[in-house]
Amino acid sequence: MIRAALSSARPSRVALAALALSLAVFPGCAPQAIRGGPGTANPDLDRPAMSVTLDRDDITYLVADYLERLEASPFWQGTIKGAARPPVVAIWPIQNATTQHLDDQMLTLLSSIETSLVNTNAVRVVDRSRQEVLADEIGIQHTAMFDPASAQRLGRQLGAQYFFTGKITSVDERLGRERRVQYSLFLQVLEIETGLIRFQNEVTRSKALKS
Amino acid sequence: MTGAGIGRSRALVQSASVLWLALTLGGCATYYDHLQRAGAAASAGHYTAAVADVNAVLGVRSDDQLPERWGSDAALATLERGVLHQSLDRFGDSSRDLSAAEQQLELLDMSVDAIGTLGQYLYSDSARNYRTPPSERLSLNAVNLLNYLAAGDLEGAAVEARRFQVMREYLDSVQVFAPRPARLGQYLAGFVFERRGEGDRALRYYEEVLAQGASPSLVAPVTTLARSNPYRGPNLDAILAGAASTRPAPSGGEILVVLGMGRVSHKEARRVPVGVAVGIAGSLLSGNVDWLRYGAGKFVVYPELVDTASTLSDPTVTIDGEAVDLEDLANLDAAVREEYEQLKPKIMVAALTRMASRAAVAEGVRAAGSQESQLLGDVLSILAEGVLVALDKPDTRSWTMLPARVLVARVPVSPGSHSVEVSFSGVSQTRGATVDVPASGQTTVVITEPR
Repeated sequence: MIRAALSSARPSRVALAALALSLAVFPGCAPQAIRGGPGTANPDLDRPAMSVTLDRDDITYLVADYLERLEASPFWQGTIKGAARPPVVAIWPIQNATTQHLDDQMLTLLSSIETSLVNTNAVRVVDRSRQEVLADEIGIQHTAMFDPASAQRLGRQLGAQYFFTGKITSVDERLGRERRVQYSLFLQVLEIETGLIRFQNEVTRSKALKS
Repeated sequence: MTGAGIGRSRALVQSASVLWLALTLGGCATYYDHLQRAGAAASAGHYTAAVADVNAVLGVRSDDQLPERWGSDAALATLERGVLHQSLDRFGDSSRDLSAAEQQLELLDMSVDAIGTLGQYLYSDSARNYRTPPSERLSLNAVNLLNYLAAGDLEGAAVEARRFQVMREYLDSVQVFAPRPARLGQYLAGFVFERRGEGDRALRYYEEVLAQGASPSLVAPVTTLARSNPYRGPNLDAILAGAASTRPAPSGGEILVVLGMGRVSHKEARRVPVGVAVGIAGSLLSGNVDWLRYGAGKFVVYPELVDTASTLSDPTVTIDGEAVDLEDLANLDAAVREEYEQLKPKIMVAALTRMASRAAVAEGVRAAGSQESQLLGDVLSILAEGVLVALDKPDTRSWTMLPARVLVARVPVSPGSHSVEVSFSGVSQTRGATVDVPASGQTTVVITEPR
């Protein structure tokens, strides 16, 4: 009797809702890889934020903003561009003082700064791998913690006149179902011989997670 | 078929649909049931086997694979595996697991879970997303910080220390204070910032550690830090008042030994008569309690916190053969127990509510079936309630591999190679490592024994 009743009954709204819900709970589609970026069918793939950590879009923005201000500064226009030969500069690792593990992002950031500086043709940039080898050779720690004495020793060995260094910090807050991380990238140009800061700037970016 | 016949059939289909929906969304075993094999292996000290058991729960094939689909159970099981990796000295794997699980737990914590909330009151507390309790939330970054310290990555450890602070501030902002689990994170954060040369920040953390009780291992570091950093607090002052007789920390190397032992209490399914449940729920049931009439002579199912027996006791640490003082830094098991006792009345209210919901569903099914025949209505009603009772799996979800106790030793040593050994009463195996301590630097030895 029950079977007959069930088989003859038209599906009720409850049954349809239950079916839809269980299909939503147990989706059967396998993940699909797609290509994105300029020149592809998904040019805006890189645009949406996937998390509160820094992505390539953020790094590109931070570096571009920094370089724009650097190139507009009196230090760049006068000292760098006015030099008889393009000065030699080196990049010291940038300190991560945020609440995120940014190891890969820091590599991208350093490479991006290096590329941008090389492409200005106004400075000559010391290769970072050579810098590390030399740091090992003269027995100094080449960590993200900037040490002026070590930097001076390394700078002289490298024949560099300026060090680009800095740190990235964050203010990380959570309220209810929202979390916001405000990043600040502080970068400075240090004159190796004197230890003077010749240029300094801060660029900011915020990321948030909302439900 | 007549209109009345179609109506009856629809009512039956609806009843069946409710049951089917419950069966679809529910299951039989609780989280703790799934983890029992891994727990037994860990209790026997077979951590590699325990990792394999957790892999099976996660549905992954290798120790370094993360689940493809995340949910509450997967996130928690990944936390469990993180501790097991740490116990095997696989600090990179442990860090990957703990970080991934942390991210997922945060997303679950921030998500709106309407279906789960509905399910919670219909058939099971475990239908809703897992909300990480403060004891676990505050321990997570501290346990992960240990991975970075053990790997010699002070910068990574500092990131975890900052994440710990963000969570503390968030919990403070919602008036949740959990000093016991926070003490572990405070101590380790202080150590990290001390070693990074951020003396004032370190002293702030040490003041908080000392506010919860004496910490002999901090006397020498506080004395040294206070010479060049201005931050003071009443507990730091108390140490500094006796500073004349205290020797500052030597400027040589240092070994920090962190020992996590045992496992915190876990939750198991228990049944109690409704009367007992009402007594525990107490004042939370004030108001109209007519609905409790459904429970006469019935039982409710709830998750009871049960002690996880440890095979380890009386730890001893030696460095180069010399016994060193171990300090009981954090009793995470006590924190878990306190938290559970506070929540227990609410857990009982939810269980009682489910009992009433089940009775209401059974009544609906009885009414629908009775339109066909009284006997059919009664049978379907009993079946419906029986199925829902069977589905009422208590929420036994928790981070079961979290160490019950964490002990520390800070030992000044000369730069160079040193051997560290940890042993326990009644256990023949020892854990140890030979470490290289740099001049004016530190090396951290992390021994995790979740058994």
